[in-house]
Amino acid sequence: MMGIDNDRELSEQLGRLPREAEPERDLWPGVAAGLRGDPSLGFRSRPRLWTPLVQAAAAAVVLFATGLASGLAIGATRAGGEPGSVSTAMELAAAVQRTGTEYVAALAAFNAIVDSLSVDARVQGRDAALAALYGAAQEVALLEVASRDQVELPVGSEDPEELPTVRF
Amino acid sequence: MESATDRASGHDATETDLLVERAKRRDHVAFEALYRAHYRRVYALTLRMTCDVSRAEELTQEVFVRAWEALPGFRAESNLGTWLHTVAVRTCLNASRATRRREARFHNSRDIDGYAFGAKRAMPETNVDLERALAGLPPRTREVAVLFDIYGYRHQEIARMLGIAEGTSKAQLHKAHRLMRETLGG
Repeated sequence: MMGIDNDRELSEQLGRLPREAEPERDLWPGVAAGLRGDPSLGFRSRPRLWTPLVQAAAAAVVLFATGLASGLAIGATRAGGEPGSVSTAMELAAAVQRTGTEYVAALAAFNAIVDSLSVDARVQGRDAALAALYGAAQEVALLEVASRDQVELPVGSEDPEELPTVRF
Repeated sequence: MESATDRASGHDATETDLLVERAKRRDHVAFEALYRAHYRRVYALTLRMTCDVSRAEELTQEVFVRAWEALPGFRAESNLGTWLHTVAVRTCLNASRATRRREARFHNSRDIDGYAFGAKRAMPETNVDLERALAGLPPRTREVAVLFDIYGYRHQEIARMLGIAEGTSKAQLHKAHRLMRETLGG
């Protein structure tokens, strides 16, 4: 047993440990099988990590679109029955608020999934979320053509600091 | 610029660039050449991060499969060895999180003697006492010690990779040194 008196000596000894090791068997055949997408391998490939993220993003979009359509249908029905009334406008606003709440809940669930994954998966998830928001914003823009210039979303960059925006 | 990592691979920078370009075009032969140049460094990392020979072999394979998938996004001006090392660290840390969840359920204990034997076979020149002391550390503490002391990462980098505060990384390193010195009889 070796005795080490201080942290510095210990760090130096650890720093001198070899940084290369030779496995007892050739690992390349397993790697080659992985490159061919052999499903018998124990590790998961990127597409399988990606799938739940896409599903979560798609679910968020569907939920948003469904809620939005329901809110519009309710608003249109009420507006047709009672044109110009204050209560109709308030009910429409409440419907939109409910839809927004559901949408935020869906995004929170999506975020919980993302937090459990790797950095690479989170980057992919963020891109998926951006795609979802882009689609949702397009729906919003369709509601009021005159307000198109006010809808902006960041797209297409790895670095959030460098994200360009797109107008539509 | 050619780095120590690429010099250690046995290829000069131009050869490595050519191999990377071919591998990006899905050339398995070129990728095997890159694998042959770098697998020892990746295996040493996975071995110390897991302290489990079988798991280290699996993770080494996984690292290169993930590298193959991510290679089209690799930028030529980056250093391949450094990039591969980052892929390896991330792969190990992801696996470590999953393993800790499993161990929390089944209370598995690591086989330090088995690891020491495997480490000596894989790295005949290594210091087995130090390897045993490392293997005896709690997983997160060991990860910090391996990344800081052996691979030269800074606390800021370690904190970012592990998703912890920089101060926590320093505290884990302090704990690692204290436990290792106790084990080593210092």
